[in-house]
Amino acid sequence: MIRILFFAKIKSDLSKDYFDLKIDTPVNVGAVRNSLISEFPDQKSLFQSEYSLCAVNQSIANDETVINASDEVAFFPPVTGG
Amino acid sequence: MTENNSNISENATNKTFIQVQTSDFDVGEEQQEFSDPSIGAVVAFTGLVREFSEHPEVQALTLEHYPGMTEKSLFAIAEQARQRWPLQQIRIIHRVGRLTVGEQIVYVGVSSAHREAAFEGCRFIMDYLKTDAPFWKQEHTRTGDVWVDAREKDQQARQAWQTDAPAPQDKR
Repeated sequence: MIRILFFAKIKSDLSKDYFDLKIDTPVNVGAVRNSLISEFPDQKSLFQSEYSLCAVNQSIANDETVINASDEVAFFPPVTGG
Repeated sequence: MTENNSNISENATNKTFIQVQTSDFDVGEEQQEFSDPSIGAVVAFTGLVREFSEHPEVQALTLEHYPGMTEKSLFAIAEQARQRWPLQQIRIIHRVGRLTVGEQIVYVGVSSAHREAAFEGCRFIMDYLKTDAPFWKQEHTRTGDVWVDAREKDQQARQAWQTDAPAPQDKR
């Protein structure tokens, strides 16, 4: 299981701060992304790669980045600060 | 998620100061922090909440962030700038929470022995902050709340730094 943190539009559209995804580790970000799309089919666009970023241990990851059981994982939209 | 005044971090050796806070900041007080006698130039950028051209009915916005990653990413951006220019102090303040038109939202102050490094370092940090630091703006309208979309031109500004020739050292 991986706890996935959500921020901004992903958090507000799903009304969830996080989601505990049942998936074996180690696993890469691309597989987690596909699992989230399956878990939330009505809001799958939130997790498509052009609309979301994934951070692993608070660093931006790509679809090949490997996630281990103890890692901190977050999905969020492209950023709009400044 | 915490929106409190917090997250003060300071590293005395490389003089990078990062703060994420709900409260306002005073640009004049920030200027006073640049006091080392070897400083020849200070360049400071202040970002304001401007009128909302896309949604004129917007009254205010709220800035959300990812506590922990925000500070980590701002430090990483400051370090990248130090690798390109001989910078001395770097001070970055970013506000979170609810803000209205005209309020200060972000401050980036950079000092160096010479002005070229300070100008370019300040701009580099702002361009990277816009695309890499985990902040999100939500606009508040009478009919509901709207998350602001990321802008292509911000990505282009960041990418322009990657295609540049290696940055010249100071004392041109």
